[in-house]
Amino acid sequence: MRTIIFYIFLATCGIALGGVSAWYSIRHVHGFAAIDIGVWTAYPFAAADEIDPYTVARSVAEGTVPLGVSEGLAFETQTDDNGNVLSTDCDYDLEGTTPPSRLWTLVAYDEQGYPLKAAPGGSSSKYSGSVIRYPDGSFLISISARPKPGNWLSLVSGQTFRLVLRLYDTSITSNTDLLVPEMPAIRRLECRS
Amino acid sequence: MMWRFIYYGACTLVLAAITHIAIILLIPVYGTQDAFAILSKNTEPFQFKAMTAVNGRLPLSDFDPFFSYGVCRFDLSEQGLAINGPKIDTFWSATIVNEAGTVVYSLNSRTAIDQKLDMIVLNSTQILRIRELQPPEVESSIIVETEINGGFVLLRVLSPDESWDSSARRFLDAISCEPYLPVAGQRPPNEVQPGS
Repeated sequence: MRTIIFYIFLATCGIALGGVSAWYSIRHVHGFAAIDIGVWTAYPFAAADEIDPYTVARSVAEGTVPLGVSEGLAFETQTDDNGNVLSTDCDYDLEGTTPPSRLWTLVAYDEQGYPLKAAPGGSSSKYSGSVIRYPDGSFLISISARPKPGNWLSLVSGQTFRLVLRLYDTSITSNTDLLVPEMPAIRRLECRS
Repeated sequence: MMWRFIYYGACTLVLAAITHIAIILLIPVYGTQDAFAILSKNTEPFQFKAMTAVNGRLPLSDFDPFFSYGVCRFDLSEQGLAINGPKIDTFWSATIVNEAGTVVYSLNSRTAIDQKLDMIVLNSTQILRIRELQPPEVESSIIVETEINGGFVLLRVLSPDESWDSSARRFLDAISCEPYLPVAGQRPPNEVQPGS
């Protein structure tokens, strides 16, 4: 009798371990096909025949439709350049350039995958066509719950968020290694607790 | 005693690995929250529908607020799909997605012929019919051969602010998404059957 209970216990442990690891890998581990540029991660092959099962399971579990290869590529990050989780209680500077594309959009999402609420007068998303740039084509976007001059990505404080930068009609998926794609840096400024 | 524990530990790990792989592979089969399941509830096959936000939220998560979306669900088991739209200057893109939520084919306004959405989606059997009949559409449309029967086309049109909404809306309203059955084109005279 004791051995039977012991076996059932082992089996339960095994199944629980498998379940937890499956859930964890879908939520947190990026698929085999992910590419990283700094803190930004993209899944250029989320839309191809050689898609890996983790990426499939992920898009099914999250109910998303990935961008197709000829539509564009979405880069996302949950942390700033120092690895701290992005929080609306902090101010950030997003500065630099994006890889070449016809247009891009930058959107802050909550954990459910919906765009964050913006403070009055602002917007929690930016479109490349309305971004003010430096003469060399680079840009600075201030991410803050309080109004900022220049490009202001407005948030309402009190939660963590995720930034998604989508490059539409980009050549990055077909480029060779001659061109190392550059993504903007995310620097944390002051935080309010 | 020691070996016994290692043995039990190994058995547990093997079972964990099997469960892990089974869950990952079965999610696409049994998942109910995927994009296709969500869209199937709201759409009829071969009817284009512009997606409208409910309380500022689209039914799909992770949507881009600078784009307007439309969807056309299809079922290729009996007939193909022809999807057409007018020419506009705004950036748009279209994706064919299968039932598992994987992108099968995609194009954007620059890669489309003459910047117009003109696409015919067929399965491998229907492609054979097309080759045989040579209908006139093959010369002007993008023909997409898929191995899937069910799926949907998701159309995205750039509309960065309200002033663009009306042109995006006009474009989405003008999309036709219809069943497609090839009709034979005009053949050269020497192929016309005698007596007909």
